[in-house]
Amino acid sequence: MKQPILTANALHKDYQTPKGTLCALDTFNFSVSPGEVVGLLGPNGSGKSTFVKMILSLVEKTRGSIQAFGQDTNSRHYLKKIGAIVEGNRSVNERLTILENAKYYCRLRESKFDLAYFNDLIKKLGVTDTDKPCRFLSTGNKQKAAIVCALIHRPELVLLDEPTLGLDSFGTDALLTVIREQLEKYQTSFLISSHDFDFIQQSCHRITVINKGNKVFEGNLDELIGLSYRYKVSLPRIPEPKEESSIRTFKRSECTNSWTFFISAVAELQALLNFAFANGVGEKVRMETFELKNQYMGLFK
Amino acid sequence: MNFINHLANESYLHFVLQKRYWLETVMGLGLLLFIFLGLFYGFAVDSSAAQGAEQESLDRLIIGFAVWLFATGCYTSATSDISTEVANKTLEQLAIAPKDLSYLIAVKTCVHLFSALLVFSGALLVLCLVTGRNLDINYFVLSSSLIAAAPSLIGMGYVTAGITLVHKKATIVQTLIFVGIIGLVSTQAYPLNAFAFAPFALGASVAKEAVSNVNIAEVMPAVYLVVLNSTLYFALGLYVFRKCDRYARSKGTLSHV
Repeated sequence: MKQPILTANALHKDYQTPKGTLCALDTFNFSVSPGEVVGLLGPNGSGKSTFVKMILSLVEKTRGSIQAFGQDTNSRHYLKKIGAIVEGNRSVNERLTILENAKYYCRLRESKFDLAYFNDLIKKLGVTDTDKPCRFLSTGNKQKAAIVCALIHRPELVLLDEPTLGLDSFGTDALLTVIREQLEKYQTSFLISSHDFDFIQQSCHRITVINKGNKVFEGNLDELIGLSYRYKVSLPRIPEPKEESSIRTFKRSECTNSWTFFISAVAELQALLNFAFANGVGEKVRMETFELKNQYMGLFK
Repeated sequence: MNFINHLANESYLHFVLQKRYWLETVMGLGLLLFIFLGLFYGFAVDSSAAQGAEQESLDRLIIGFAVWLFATGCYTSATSDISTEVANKTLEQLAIAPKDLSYLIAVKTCVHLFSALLVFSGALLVLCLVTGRNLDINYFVLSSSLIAAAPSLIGMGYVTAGITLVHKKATIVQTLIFVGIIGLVSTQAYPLNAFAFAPFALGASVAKEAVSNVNIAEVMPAVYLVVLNSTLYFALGLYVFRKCDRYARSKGTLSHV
């Protein structure tokens, strides 16, 4: 097993407020391995952004430790290997063009600027108006500019806090493509904090859900699905399947006129559909696929 | 990456911005020249019949104005960078660079200091041309005392920058220090008196002595004191800035706007 490039052990953060101590993160444990995309989910004020900022040393920890690339975050050298967008598109100098921004931030992170790589990123993300200062760009293009600046120095770990903010569907798809390519070509790891469930579902290998500074769930998408189902299938009531049929073992609920099955595996879905068509109700089958959003909401109920 | 590479990067940023927004710079300098001419000709009319000492006063006015421009440039070098980064919402990108924030601000300050020296030299030339005066001054005394005194105001800039890191807006402090700089430049701290303990005052006073074509050997003890004064204020500024940086990180307000 690969050594994690980022580990947080018993990480704790308290803020002192006029109303007393506010615990933003409570003995939080976390890790990211090379080439892994981890999604960080949680309601507003759950501690996601605080955690991301703690990785970047923007917020000091109260207790615990964070190690990045084998170094304690008190030394700043590890930051060379990290790219980040913190809280949306707050990362570019609006008086500079995207190219000027990329050059400046690449050198600020002590890396050599590669124009061919820059052009490749621009093309893949579909950025337009590259010759204008960023203040003249649309919100989506500004966000893409911030993404380019976060990736331009070829970091090994990229922290993206709300990366799809202001992006249209094409922009979101382009970002997904770029993330997959970075994974494939450079084994780049990503930590993505977002409220865009589709994006998280499509991009992440693993998901961590936090609430009020505590971890509520950690696991891969299948484990989260395993908590309930991947497909919800409704069909009219028909004669009970034979005793030897596997369909009898499927989790289901019954109404007067219909059955609702909760299926986790594709093979089970196939068997159920075969059963429905064999009994002449195939065309009346109604199916809903798993939605991360519903599952996520369920964690808080 | 060494200091030179960071210096080149910050110079690149400075050059791009100056080139793109040249009109803003030119108009700012034009306005300052306009204010100076108002002061100069008002003073010149009053002392039109004067000779000798009054003529030297006019020269001192030119030097004083140029020194004030330089002093303002030194002070704003650190503080304006932090204010600009806060306003541009890019402070956190600077704060997550592999080098310490105070180091990066120091690099930016070097670029601004060089720029302030250029403005100072250019302003002196333009002021002499516009007023038709040929200054007979000791440029070595002028430049060495100013360069030695500059870190004290940079230190003050660090203090304001630190306050800006924590509170994001330090407009009142900045305005007060701007007014204070006029006082520091116009104060007579040479021959040595209590004002010599204030930042920059002694350096500015020695610089103005250049008009009297004073010999460097005469003012050397004062220049040593300027260096000591500068070192202390610079160290104080750096200390306050680092404390403020640490405080902002512990409160989690560093990246807030």
